[in-house]
Amino acid sequence: MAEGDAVRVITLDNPPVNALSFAYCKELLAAIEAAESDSATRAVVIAGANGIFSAGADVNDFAQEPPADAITVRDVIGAVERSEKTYVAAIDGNCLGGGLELALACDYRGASGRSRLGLPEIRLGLIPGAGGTQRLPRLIGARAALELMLKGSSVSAERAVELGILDEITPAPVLEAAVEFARRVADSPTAETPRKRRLSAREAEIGPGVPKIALPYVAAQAHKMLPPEERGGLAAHRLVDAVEAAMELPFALGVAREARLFEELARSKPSLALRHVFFAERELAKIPDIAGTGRSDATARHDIVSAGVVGAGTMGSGIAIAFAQCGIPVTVVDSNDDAVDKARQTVMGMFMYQVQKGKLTQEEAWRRAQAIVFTDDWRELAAADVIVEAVFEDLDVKRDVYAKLDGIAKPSAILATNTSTLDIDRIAEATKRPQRVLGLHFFVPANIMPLLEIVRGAQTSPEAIAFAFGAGKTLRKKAVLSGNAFGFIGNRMILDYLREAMALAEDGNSAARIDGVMRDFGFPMGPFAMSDLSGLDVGLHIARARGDEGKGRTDVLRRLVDMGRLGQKSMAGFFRYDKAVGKGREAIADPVVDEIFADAARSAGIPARHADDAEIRERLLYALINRGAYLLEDGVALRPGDMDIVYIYGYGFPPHHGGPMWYADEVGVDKVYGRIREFEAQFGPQWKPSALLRGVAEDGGTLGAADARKALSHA
Amino acid sequence: MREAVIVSVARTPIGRAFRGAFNQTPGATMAGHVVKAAIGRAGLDPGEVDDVVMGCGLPEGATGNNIGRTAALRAGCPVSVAGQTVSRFCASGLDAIASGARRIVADGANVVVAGGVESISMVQNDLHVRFLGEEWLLRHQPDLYTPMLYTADFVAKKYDVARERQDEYALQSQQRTSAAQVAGRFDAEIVPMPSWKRLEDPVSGAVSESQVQLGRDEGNRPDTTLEGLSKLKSAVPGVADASVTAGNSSQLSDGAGAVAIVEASFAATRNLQPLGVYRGYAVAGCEPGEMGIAPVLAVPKLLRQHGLTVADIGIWELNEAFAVQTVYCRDMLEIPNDRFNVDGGAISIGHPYGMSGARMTMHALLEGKRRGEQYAVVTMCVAGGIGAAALFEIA
Repeated sequence: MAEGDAVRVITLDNPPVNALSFAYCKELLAAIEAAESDSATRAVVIAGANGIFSAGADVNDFAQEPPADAITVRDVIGAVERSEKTYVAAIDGNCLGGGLELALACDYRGASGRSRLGLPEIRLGLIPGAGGTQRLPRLIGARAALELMLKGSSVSAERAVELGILDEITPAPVLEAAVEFARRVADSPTAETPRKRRLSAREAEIGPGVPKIALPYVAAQAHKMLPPEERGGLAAHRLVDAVEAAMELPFALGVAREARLFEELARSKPSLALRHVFFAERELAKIPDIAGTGRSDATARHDIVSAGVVGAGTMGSGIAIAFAQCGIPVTVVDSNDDAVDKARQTVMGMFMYQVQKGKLTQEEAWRRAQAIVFTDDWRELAAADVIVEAVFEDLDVKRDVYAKLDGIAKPSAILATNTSTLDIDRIAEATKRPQRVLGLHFFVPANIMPLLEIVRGAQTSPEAIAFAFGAGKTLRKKAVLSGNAFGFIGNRMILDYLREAMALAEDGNSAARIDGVMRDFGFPMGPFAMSDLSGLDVGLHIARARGDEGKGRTDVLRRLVDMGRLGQKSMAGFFRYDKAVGKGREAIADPVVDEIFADAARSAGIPARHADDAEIRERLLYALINRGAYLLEDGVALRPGDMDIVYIYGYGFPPHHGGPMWYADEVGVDKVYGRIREFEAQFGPQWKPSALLRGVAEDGGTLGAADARKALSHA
Repeated sequence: MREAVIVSVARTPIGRAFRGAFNQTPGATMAGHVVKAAIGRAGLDPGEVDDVVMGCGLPEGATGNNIGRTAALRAGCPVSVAGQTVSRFCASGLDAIASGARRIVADGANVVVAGGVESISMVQNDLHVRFLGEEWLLRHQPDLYTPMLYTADFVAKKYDVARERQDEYALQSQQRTSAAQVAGRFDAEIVPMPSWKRLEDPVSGAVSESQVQLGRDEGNRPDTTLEGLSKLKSAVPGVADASVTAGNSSQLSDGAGAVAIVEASFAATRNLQPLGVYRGYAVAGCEPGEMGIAPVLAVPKLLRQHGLTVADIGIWELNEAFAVQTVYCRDMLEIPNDRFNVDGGAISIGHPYGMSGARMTMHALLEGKRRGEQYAVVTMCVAGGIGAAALFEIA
């Protein structure tokens, strides 16, 4: 199967995921050229080592302009395209992005049943850039290709055969079957199995039964469905353009169009932001002081055999479901029968909903629901590897719970509190194992929200933190490490954001308008709708816990709560809600609230002051940024990227802006700092800029750069 | 002031697209036929014609190559006669007549032949759409690319025009056309035309050609019943609950029509009997996604320009693109039903896009004259969200 053989095998081998980096593409191109120059070779089989075909291009390569002599996937694919020999892709494992584009350039594609195929570029704000947008429509039709690339998710080999991406599911071992097939085609091609099947020679159709004249309509409808370019839709709209080009242009011109669109996107702000998010996620578990030598991956395997939850309220049942749906049996302890009944209903309702949606089989739903055991006997927690406490937010109550747990839980068990306002150290003190106590701060609903804050107490051991990251991975959450400070990362920052929202509303800018400005920025909801969702009573409770109650300029929050306006759950808060409008979840502007703000402002002697949209946006976002800089300064957050992940996955910050800290860099830290100084002069000391921010601004640097801490040192 | 008067009219009968008499008759053949007849009926010498202005909705392929010029030559005009194509989709034929009239009033021409032609059979399914989508427009005015059926469904839903009203209107159209055909009220317009029709055996798929001569419009269905209409399914692809059906929409058709327009004093010198005087034209725009309602905007503009009201107009032709927008416009404009599309329209006769404006103009003049009315208004909705309306004074 090497030199002199009719069939030559080229194995993609660039561990761990056979990334088609510039450096690796150079090797690959050389291998292809060797095959091409060997006149005995009549067919080439491309396969992958390391249990995967290829995960595609190396995202690191996009970071800067490629060197002029860089060999890219495009060059490799170009060589395959020009070849007169038969190319067969033998896929076993993931075949994504540039990997699939390479397979599309081959004449035949077979894959094992376990393989998954996809073009996920859209998730990085890009489009496939090595012919994928031109070849896939020619293979499976423009509409199916567009759908696949817009979603960016991968499909099973079975589905890929249905779509027409794969010629067949190849029985194992894939490589042997592919070699045998290649030999047959090379020796005796037939009308059904010709030597060459270049997609570039085909014309693209829209889809079965759709005439070509429908193209402009189909394209216009696709654009109509997508979010606006400036609100996260840039790459998606460009993708439609690229697929339209596949329908309208000869292949070579289509590829040139794709390349132009790709380059534009590679330099675009949304893509830079999304790539930042991609890398920030991979950094999360790298904790400098854990596992000894500098940075290392904290997610060592810590298998959780079983879990426990204390408290069967909303949070407790959500956490229990989160464990159960990841296959971990969980024991929920609560002595209140009503709460347990309600939790049982919640759990069953949730799994049945997934059955209705076709996401789970009845049997699987039943199995998962059975994995949650409710009891009032604390001793049943004895075997749990991790116990998450989700009882009432009261330090004394929690300390009692921990004292009790300490006596029951096995010595190796991790005790985690889901508190959002209390001091982890005070809770840990109640046990004899403070090194194994930490915070696991889930977000409501815990089984759906992807964010998990891991809170490190003063005595929490590195092993416990490593365990928590392992748990985060098992639960498929984005786990972020936070220091033990009030509100941790997410809620601490949101207080500043909400403070500015309130101040703007007290000045006579309506809640509906302020929310609208933030939605235009890309948040799914504005600050007031978010407050309504989490509950105004909860907001008041947090203010009380922090000792802030009564310190605001007005008492609007108190007034609303006293009126029974607790938010969405009571059908009225900062907005009103109507069961007939958006299932009771759509915020409807309520003049009553405007009047309450106006009245409170009058009593407090606050004059009306109109803020334009830019000011609203700046005050809310810069409040987040300034607080984020303080958290970095104080070591509560490890990295700006960690805070970005918290905001994107926990608070709906638009990913195409990269998170608040990335956004600061995008705007320019010096500019942000300048505005914060102006706000400080205009509105008061709550706007005092963080020293770190000042340092970075004065250096003309970025928060994302490694010199953030250095900036602090001479601040 | 110079005045443009219409002195003769001529049109082909209207054929059903794809399966009808003109399913492989090129646009220039049909247009040449009617231009020649309009000139002949007015007793003019072809060499006297200054310009031939032809409207066409889809001016490409079988109706491409400047169909105004090819029609002039195909009609036997000498090469000295110029030609021009005018396109405003469905209002093209009406626009061509307005444009021809302006050539006389403003430019000093004495004789112009104007009209419209469409061969849906030979053009629509092979439409050139490569590069039709413009990136900015696809994003910001996507409904510019929306097929008309969807705009009709949108109008039905937005303005709440019930299926029953649409079907009742379609029935009225069919009945009126049927009665007019029996009474011969289209005969003065029509110049029968022989053609080679392509026949396809529905069972074997065998194709043959046979020569036919269509003498009258072939789209009318006199046996239409309300019950039959009500049983038809949605004609809007992918929208099962649409009230727009094949029965209450215009028919896809082929045909051509032309009128001879001359300056009023020229007509007097030559002793030509005017059928009507061109008085003016107005257009207005609306959202592309609800193009059907645009006559509601264009008609008041036209009437205002001439100091008239709806009550002053004796006969109305409002193009029946879809029953839904036809009844909506009629009722919004408060046009009396007995003066409105009195002998049916595109639903019952057919709708060769670029020709319809010319057909409606000639019918309004002839029928208006028979009824002794003073003013006629011809109005149409246009793809892309435009309404067009023309005013004629019946001589």
